[in-house]
Amino acid sequence: METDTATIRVARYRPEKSEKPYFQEYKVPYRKDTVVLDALNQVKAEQDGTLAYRWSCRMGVCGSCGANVNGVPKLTCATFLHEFKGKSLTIEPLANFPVIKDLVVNIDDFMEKLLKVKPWIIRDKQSPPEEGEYKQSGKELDRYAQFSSCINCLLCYAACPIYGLNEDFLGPAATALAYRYIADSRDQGKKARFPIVHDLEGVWECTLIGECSVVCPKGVDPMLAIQKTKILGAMEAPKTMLSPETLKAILPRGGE
Amino acid sequence: MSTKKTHYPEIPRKNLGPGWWLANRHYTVYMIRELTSFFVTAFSLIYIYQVYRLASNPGTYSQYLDTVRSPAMISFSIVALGFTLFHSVTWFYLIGKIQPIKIGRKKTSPLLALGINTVFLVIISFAVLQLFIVGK
Amino acid sequence: MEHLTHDILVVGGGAAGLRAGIAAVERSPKLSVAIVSKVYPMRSHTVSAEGGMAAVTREYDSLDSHAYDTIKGSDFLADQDSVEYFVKQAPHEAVQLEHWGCPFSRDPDGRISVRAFGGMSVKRTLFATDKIGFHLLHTLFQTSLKYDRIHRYDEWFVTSLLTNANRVEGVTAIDIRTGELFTILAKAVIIATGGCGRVFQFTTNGWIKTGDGMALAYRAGVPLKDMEMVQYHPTLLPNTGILITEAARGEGGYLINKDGERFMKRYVPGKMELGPRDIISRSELTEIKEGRGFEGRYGSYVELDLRHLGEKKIEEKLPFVKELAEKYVGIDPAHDPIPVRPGQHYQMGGVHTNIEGFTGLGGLYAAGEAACVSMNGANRLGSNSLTECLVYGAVAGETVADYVAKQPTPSFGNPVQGLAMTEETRIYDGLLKHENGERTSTIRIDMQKGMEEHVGIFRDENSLREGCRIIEDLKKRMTNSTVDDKDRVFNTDLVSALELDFMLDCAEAITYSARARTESRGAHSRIDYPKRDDTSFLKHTLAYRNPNGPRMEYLPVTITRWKPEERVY
Repeated sequence: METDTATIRVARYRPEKSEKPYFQEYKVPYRKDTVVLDALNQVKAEQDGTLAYRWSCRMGVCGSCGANVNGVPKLTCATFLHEFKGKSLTIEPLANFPVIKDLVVNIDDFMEKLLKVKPWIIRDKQSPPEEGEYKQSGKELDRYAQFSSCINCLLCYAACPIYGLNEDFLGPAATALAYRYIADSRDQGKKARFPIVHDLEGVWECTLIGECSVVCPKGVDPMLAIQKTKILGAMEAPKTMLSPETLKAILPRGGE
Repeated sequence: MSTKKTHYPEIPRKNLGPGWWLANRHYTVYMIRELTSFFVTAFSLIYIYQVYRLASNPGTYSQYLDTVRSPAMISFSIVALGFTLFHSVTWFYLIGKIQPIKIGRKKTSPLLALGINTVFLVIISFAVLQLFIVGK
Repeated sequence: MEHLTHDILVVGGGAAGLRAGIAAVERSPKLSVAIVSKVYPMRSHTVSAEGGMAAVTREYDSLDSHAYDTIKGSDFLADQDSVEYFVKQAPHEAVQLEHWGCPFSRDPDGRISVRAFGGMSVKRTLFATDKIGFHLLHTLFQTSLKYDRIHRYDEWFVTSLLTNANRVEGVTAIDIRTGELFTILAKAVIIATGGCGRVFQFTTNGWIKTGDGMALAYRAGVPLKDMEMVQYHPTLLPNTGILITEAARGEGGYLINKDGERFMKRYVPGKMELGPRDIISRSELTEIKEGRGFEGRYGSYVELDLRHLGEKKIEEKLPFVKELAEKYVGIDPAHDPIPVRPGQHYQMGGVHTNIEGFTGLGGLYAAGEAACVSMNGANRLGSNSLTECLVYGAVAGETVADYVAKQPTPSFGNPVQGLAMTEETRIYDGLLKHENGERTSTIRIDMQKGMEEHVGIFRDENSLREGCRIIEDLKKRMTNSTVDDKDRVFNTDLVSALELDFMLDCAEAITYSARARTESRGAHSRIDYPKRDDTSFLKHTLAYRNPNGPRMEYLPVTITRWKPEERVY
């Protein structure tokens, strides 16, 4: 395998050195199997230890190493340099997040949203483990399995213009995880999660741009989860509207 | 003391500007899809108006037809047709994504839904066309 | 310096740490539990485990069979009481995890599916396609979010344990985002930081696996046990070290050499590809050494052949293997065999603990890969480690919850405050300000090369002597190292330097322990001492930190019901 040299343009932001972000170019050797993360690691190890970015598993499952590569959110560990042969290659922090330093973004907002959707099994009654597992058929598993594959890499948030325009939008990954639990046959927390996903900043903000699903490296298809949540909500609406609680609230009270 | 508490600012989140939809081909296609709604609505309104004219006063209907035959209206119709077809095709595709056709436990590509829906569109269009021709 | 206080402090947010945290708050809901992790917990390396987790859940299986397989797999170095406790608790933990929502693969009758795994005599490995680690970690993490008594410190890096009169009273930790050093006081500390695979060059382990917790305990005077027992996994992608799960063989995959021969028939004919990992890794190297390997850009390799499983089975049972092979090798495993070679995967050794996770130093506990409760002995069986994280994570959490109820809250006085100040000076005035020294990356690369070359799958006195020399030399070089990044905010260069310092301690313990064990047992394979020696070495190595290389002590193996016998498969 032959070795080539590429020039990568990396967005830098070093708050202790300058208030303004800037770009820095590095020359890196690469082969057919070199990924963008390898290039960053080469820079860090051999050229410039000040470059800051996150990474760990380098096999596309820990979700740390997302960055905007030529404007498109990517896992740097799964993006090959040779795909950019003859083109310029610019690496920037994930869009739509505040930047702490260089390629490191602040993901507090997502962590709060994740907590908000109650991403755990909610049941009226927990049976003790001694009674054995909750049975689940292949079909029941299929209903949510794909949405449980979210690695929280947040490429979808970087790709979502709705989130870009409105920070309060619950967003793709958090909704996918909410739906993952709603659709799980073991869960009974639909009621608890509905007010959150159907909030003003919830699923109805989504206008089906679909870029979240295009950039998702794990085939989660958050857009699908959002639409499925919309459908569930719409089906539930007549029930909610005609529920005794709603009727009591809107009908004139007799005799009181 | 070597640890001083200094807080260095983060680069705040940039909210997207009005031209965000030009940043990426997918965004642009999305915007065009949104734009098609205008043409679909306009064409539908014109069509409803046409039916209304035909029903209310058949005498002035030919007058109306002359307006429709004007080059401006013909070009509008062609543009509207283009956008309507684009609208149909993109939504057929999205239907395939949102409610994928399943064969056994396997999901099919949204292209299948697109294909099936397009075939139906063509069949229905021909049927309607046939109706008009036969009606004449 | 600011200080924070909690009842319990868990270092590490992977499977063991999260399980310990949950167990502690479930036991005593009033406790304040801190989980301090240098990465967001869902990034922890548990995420990369693929094949499954072992537990007895079927009628045809028995606890004794699981225990015996584990003990035999360990080459009789496992403490049998800890194995017995493990197999007994494993089914409970598996079902608990299922109740928390883990998306296990299912049989047609709705039960959790099981698959075959290396060294297990029956199918008992529960799985979620080939991403059990990912699902297990996210299930635990998301479940942990519902307990508001669990306080997380995400992206905080623990630099030292603060001890007072043979008792741990807290830690110092850098908030990586601001670069500020804090003291976190606690009545007890649980180390759950995982292994130290990154001391080697060719490893399945992620960048974060730097043995921090092992080194923290080692520096606090706690011995590291059986560190010479390093597991080399037989199937890594040759260029990257990316793990191809043992489940690929569990589902029926073949290992083949250049002649297209299933070579395992020469080594463990009774088990073939489902032999234990230590034996398969050595067999692969033997094939290569005898000229029956393939030659490639990244050295010699053998092949993992899944073609006969067919597209459907691969897609259903091994989708991640398919994804990895396609992405990183550019092949479809349904049509081409996958090139593989052995590499570092897991650390059987670790912080010495008893069956309750207690290290012997007051208030200090450990669980998971960081710990050595001695259930894996000289070779861990695949799919036992995730279950170990759950079982022993839960034990540590519960034990500590009871322990802290009777303990006073430590105060921020001396000696703890003094120790924290010293630590601050060491890091910010020493390491960070030091100019014109050697860049830490060259020291790291030399360590990884040295360990790979001299402390690998086959070892002997010469290689290990050289290994010890290299580590001592690197430790000296480390005292004159410089970081490029002098800033406070998110200084990954500084964190890497501190991690390297920890790794050198682990490397030292591994190399010296290996040199002292003059026998071959499990994963520890000495060319100069090819036989297992039960007379002299049916015992655990304990390495205590010492300025001139570790001091070795030994501890007898606990034997309950299974007398050591020859390990034949």
